[in-house]
Amino acid sequence: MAESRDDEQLGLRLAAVAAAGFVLIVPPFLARFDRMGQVFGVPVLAAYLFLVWAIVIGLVAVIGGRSR
Amino acid sequence: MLQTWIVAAVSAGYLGLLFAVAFYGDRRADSGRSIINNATVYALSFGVYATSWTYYGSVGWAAGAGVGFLPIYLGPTLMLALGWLVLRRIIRISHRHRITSLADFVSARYGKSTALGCLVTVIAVVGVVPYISLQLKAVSITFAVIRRYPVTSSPKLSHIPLLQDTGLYAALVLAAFTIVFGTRHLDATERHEGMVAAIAFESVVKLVAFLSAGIFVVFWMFGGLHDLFSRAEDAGLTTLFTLREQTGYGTWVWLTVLSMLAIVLLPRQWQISVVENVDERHLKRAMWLFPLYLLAISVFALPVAAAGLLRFGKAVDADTYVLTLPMAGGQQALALLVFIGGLSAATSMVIVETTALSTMVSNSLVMPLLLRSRSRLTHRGNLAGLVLGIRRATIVLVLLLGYAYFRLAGEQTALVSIGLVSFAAVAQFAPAVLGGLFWKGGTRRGVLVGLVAGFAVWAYTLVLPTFADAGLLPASFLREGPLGMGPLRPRQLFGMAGMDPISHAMFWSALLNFGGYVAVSLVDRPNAAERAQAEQFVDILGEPVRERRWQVRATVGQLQTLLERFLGREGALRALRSYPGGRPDSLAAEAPPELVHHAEAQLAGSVGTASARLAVAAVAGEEELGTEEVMEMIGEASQRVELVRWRLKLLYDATGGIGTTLDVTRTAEELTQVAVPRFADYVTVDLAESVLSDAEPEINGTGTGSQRMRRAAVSGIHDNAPFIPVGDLITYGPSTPQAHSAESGKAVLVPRLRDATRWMEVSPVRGSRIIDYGIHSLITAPLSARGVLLGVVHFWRSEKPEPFDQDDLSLAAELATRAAVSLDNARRYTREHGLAVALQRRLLPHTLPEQNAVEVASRYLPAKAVGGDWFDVIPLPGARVALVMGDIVGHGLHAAATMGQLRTAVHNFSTPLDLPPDELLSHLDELVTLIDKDAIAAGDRTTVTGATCLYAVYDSVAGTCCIAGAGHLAPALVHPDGTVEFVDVPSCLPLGIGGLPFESTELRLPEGSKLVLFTDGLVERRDLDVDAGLRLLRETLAHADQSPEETCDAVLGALLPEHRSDDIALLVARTRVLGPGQVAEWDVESDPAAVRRVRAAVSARLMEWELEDLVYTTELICSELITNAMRHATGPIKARLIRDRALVCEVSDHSSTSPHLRYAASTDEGGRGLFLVAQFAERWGTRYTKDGKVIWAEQTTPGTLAG
Repeated sequence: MAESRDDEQLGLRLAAVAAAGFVLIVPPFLARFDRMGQVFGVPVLAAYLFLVWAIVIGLVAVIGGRSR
Repeated sequence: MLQTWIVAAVSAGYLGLLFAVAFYGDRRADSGRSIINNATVYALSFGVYATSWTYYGSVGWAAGAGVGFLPIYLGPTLMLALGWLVLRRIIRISHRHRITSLADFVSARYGKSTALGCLVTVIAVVGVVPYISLQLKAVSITFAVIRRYPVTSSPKLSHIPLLQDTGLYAALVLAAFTIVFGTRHLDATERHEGMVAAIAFESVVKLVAFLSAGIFVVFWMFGGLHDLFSRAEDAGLTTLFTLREQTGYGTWVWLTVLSMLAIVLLPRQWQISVVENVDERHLKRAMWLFPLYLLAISVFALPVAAAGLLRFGKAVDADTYVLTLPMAGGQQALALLVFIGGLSAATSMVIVETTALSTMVSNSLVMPLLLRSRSRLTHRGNLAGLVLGIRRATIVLVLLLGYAYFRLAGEQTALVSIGLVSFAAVAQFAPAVLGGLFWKGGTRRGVLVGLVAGFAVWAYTLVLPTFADAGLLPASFLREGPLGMGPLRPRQLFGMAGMDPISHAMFWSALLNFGGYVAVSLVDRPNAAERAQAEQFVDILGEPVRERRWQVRATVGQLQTLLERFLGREGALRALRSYPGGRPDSLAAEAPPELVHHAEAQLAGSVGTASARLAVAAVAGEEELGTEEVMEMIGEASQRVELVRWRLKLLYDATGGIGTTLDVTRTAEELTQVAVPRFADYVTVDLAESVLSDAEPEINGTGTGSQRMRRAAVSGIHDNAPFIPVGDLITYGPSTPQAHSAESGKAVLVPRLRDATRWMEVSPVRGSRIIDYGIHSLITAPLSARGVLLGVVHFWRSEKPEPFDQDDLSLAAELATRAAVSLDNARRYTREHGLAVALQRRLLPHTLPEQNAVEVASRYLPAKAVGGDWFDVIPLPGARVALVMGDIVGHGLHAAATMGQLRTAVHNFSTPLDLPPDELLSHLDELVTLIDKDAIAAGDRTTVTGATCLYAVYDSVAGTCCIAGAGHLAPALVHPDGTVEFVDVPSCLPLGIGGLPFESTELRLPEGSKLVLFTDGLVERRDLDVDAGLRLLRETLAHADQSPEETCDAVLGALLPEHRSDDIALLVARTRVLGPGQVAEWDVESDPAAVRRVRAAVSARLMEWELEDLVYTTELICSELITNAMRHATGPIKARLIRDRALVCEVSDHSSTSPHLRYAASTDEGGRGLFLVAQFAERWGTRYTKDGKVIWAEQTTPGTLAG
């Protein structure tokens, strides 16, 4: 029972990460960065998307890795 | 430009390497050291998602629409974050139900429907073939590019003669690879370790190749990212920077959703992530490692696209930038590496996709059709070969179809749009799969309607336009709609304009698919099969639920043969060996439902759930008739019937198996034996103390919860379960389920012991040990009959994974009720039996009275049923003794009570009245008739008629014995010399018949003769007729020198049967004779003077006997009696003195007038004689003889007590 509660917790945390990721990569957040210009030598939009992407991956790795 | 032979040789070398890796993977798997049982390998094998489309197409897409290609990779990232919610369920369901493909999953979820399996397979094949053609196209084009550089324009490149087309050869090589590693053998897990190893390897190759190209382009050809994008900005390539110009936000969102679905629903992804998954924990690493892989492989797409646009502009097909840029940079080796990377991307996709499709086609399409149309197929030959043949043919066919599509329609279209068309096709499965995962209400018909509608819209809005684009359909079809019907224009359906084709198609197909699924499901009523599967799927993470069992007749041998046909001999043995239940004894034994289910599950892993069901049905005898609908209904109905039949069988066995004896404890044990192991793994029975001690339990039901119980029986599949042992006292605490069940009189269900704590209060220490032992579910049912609580039975489960449910509860209650009736019977019988035994014991003599006439020994052996045998030894005055042996026909309380009456009567007739045997029997006969009349008047149907009796009086002075019998077996007489004879007693009717007078016979017995009285139980029984019994008795008795005790033992030793059905009474008497020294007799003349003479003689004799103290009284008694006789009686008078245990003084005369005691008035002259006698004698009385009467008086001699 305890195991399945932990599992449920893990599933929900990861789902929250997925939901946050989805919100960040669709308008209106997306539209905020949909403009010309460069950050660190790359287009703003690409930089933003890759950043969000990397953060999502990192969070999943941390949350998934902590649960045993 | 590279030499063709070099490219071809390197490609061949690479494919050879791939074969080697796959071969190594299979070898490792065969030797049990799997390399794919590793989270990283699992995550890498997910890389099969990155196909040529990713490798070449994303650059092409980026060149046209900037970051617009990213949703294809962002979607999977989000979906994998949801993986623990979604993918893990799918993986667990698939592993538990041995589902090996997407089609199988949908079919299994909706009641193992064959139709759905077929439909999904068809959609998957149609949807994915273009995607396969895309891979072949990529190989073909890139080969041409690398070979013919600097010719780079695609129209020129794509017109390649058929036999020179690398795509064709690639298709053939890939078919060979897939056949070798994808259909190596048929087994229940359907894992392809070698293939997965190769896929993981390819994932590394394509990533390394693409990153090498990207780094070269960005940092060698240009001065880094900043330089590259600055130049792009300067060149006005705004599409690279923004989204909204080329890709609408709507499209962006649609693409994200589409790719989220695709990462789960693409057949190849399903194959890798679900079917090839070894351990669901591997998913945890894949959830972040695979998105990281996607990020890495797409990070250079935009820069390379920018570089390509700056370097070539529109002169080169943007899809080939990643290859042409290194070539333009003069790096031929790098170009070759990039080509190999592209090849690996294409091959990995094709290999896995065709493997997945071949499984679907064979398991969900071809086999069900074959099995359905020719159900005898299952009885023939080796089917493993057939299944593998179907798969191999499918692989070749799918690849050729893909190639044909590429040659016919695909040449005009960009890689990207072909890929998206496939994505949209598989997205149609989303409502069926994801809905089925979380919503129990989805029905088969709902899926059918949704899928057909979605698929039709997809074909109409996405596929037909590509045909139109390719010139296969008139262009007016797109512009004006079919036959000029505007609203039906495929890209503006019902006037829905302003969306790109993918969004448009997704909108309409999702609307109809999802809408149809939900609407029809809500209207529809799922049948039981669907409901059962829905429970199984949706509640997969909870406790395992029992799947519907096969309730069919099939032998173990039949199942084994069936498995052999599909899995081969080895596979079948392996499959049977993996059955967790007990090993069946023989092949001819009927297979338990669990085993049939197990076989089906094993088979499902190889040929799919629907096929497995059909195959098992064909063997197990479920007739395949009519349409699928009818079949399912019949199957459903027959399963319910079988379930009911199973329960009836259990109850039937319970009726036969419980209550075979009338023993309470034994009955409790029988209850446990009937229920284990079919119904429960362990059963314990507690009985009320009062039940075990034969007392009447409290009728008052209140407070029974705290009633003291004792553990009466424990039984289970193992002996060492930590239950309270038999014999221990148990007190149920208040509010425990046990007490609740006892108080309410209803069975109580505790489905999950772990979640409940109350039940443990009975014994907390044992409670936790029971949990630790693996026992997880409990039903407690009261054993009550006639409103009385007799005990409580507990059913426990450990091995069977599913908890008890409501159905089990009612079955348990029914079992308990039946057992309780048997228990009540046993208890009541035990009580009645105890009463009868006690009564009989009370009635029979405990110790025989002391007397000197005979030396006696007796035995009484009661039968199980209380009988009516009795015997008696009654001392009679005058040194005589009466021996009685009687038998009341019948058993039980009635017989025992009658025996008591008769025995008392005999006592009364013999002692005070001292009747001779024949008269005594006459009186007894009258009494029995009277008792019978009374009984009949009282409405009693049993009468005593048939009672027998033998009455013998032995006179130790005369040495004579007078015997009369009433229907009783004659006694045996053992002479002192050892000869044995049966006394010739006049044959008379048994008592209670009436009519004829009884006769007696008189024998003279020498001293030391033995008279043996017995009842028929001794000599007559089922296996011994009475003559043989008597003969045996005669032989046994022929030992003169034995004492009566020894004789009794010898007789019982020789004649005692093993199973007595009747009770036995045995009485042995050895005669004594009083010698002349103990008897003195005088004839008395009828002359008063004689009195004085007798007084003198008496006095002298008493002095001789040293009884001086008694001289005076004896003289007085003698003179009084003689005087009386002279005065009142006639005939010769005799006086006699007997010195036995007492001193007896007898006076006989020939008159039969009875003297009676008078209390004389003070003036009376006479009438004082008897009064004086009565005062001085201990006892006195009269008995009648043939000639007259004897008046006797007995005095206690000093040192002895009168008997």
